[in-house]
Amino acid sequence: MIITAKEREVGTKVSRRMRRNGKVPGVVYGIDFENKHIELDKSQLLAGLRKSRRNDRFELKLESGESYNVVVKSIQWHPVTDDIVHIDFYKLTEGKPITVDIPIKLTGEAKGVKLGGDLYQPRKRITVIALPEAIPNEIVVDISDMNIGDVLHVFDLDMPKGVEVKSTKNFTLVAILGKTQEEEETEEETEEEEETEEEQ
Amino acid sequence: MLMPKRTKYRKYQRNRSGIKGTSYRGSKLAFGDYGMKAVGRGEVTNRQIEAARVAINRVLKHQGKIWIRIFPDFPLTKKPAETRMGKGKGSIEQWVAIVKPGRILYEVSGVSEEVASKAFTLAAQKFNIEMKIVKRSEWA
Repeated sequence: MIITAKEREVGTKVSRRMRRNGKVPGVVYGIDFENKHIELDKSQLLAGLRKSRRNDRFELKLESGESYNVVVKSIQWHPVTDDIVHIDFYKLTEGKPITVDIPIKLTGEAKGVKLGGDLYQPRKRITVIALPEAIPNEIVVDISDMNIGDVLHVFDLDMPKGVEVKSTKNFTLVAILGKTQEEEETEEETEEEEETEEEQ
Repeated sequence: MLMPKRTKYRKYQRNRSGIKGTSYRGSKLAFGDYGMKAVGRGEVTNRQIEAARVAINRVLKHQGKIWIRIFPDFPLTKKPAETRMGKGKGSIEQWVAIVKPGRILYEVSGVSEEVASKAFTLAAQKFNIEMKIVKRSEWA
């Protein structure tokens, strides 16, 4: 995906004027690379983002003729209008690892959910350190074998080659919450016992 | 209904300037896949929060999970009817949460977009503030 941009002036007033005129201020940075402040066309940028996925590589072409391989490092969104306020690009350097957030995609329907359990996914992304050529778009986790009470942690994941987890390893990724049949039966039994005791 | 267990002081003066500005904190989806975001500003009472929660639960039919992202921690007082002025501040009538534009009030997960949208449309009618429905995005 190619994104065109041009260098811009720095400043609040300039940036506000840019946003009023349908442009988005941004910045490119990287290892051994002097930061460049850029402006992009909002409609072109949004179309590009819609077509691509997180951690996809972009080719950033400047008006001066320079071109860089970049990934989107972060995007600032307006809290009310949900417009893009600012975008950060990270210039990739071959052989130098970068820190990125990877979304976790769950596949299959868990056994426990079929039995009436609730799927709980407290973490939807994990932070990893990866080489530019090895950055995955997402980490696919098959949860079809998970039963009620089962928990999947970060350390249970099979990471692709060249990708190392930076997040804490014992974070819970997915859990199936709910009561197992045995627990329900024991609860029912105790309730019945209590009732009989009260009657006596 | 939601209210604090204890407060530092029993009654407070209304902070009229405290409702200015935009809610930068609490403006992103943190737990669920869909959320209800305030576009306007104002005070939301604990009765409204409860009524909206019930409305959401009725549509969800106890499927999925709900998160309430606001808490009514500010007491509002009222003097009884036909009372002369003076004799001290009135008693606490209700608890409110200050809501600025951008604030996410509710989040849900584990349901389809249609169900979430229907639930939030009904819930939004319980408030005197304009709301909009937001969805988790890959880029947000």
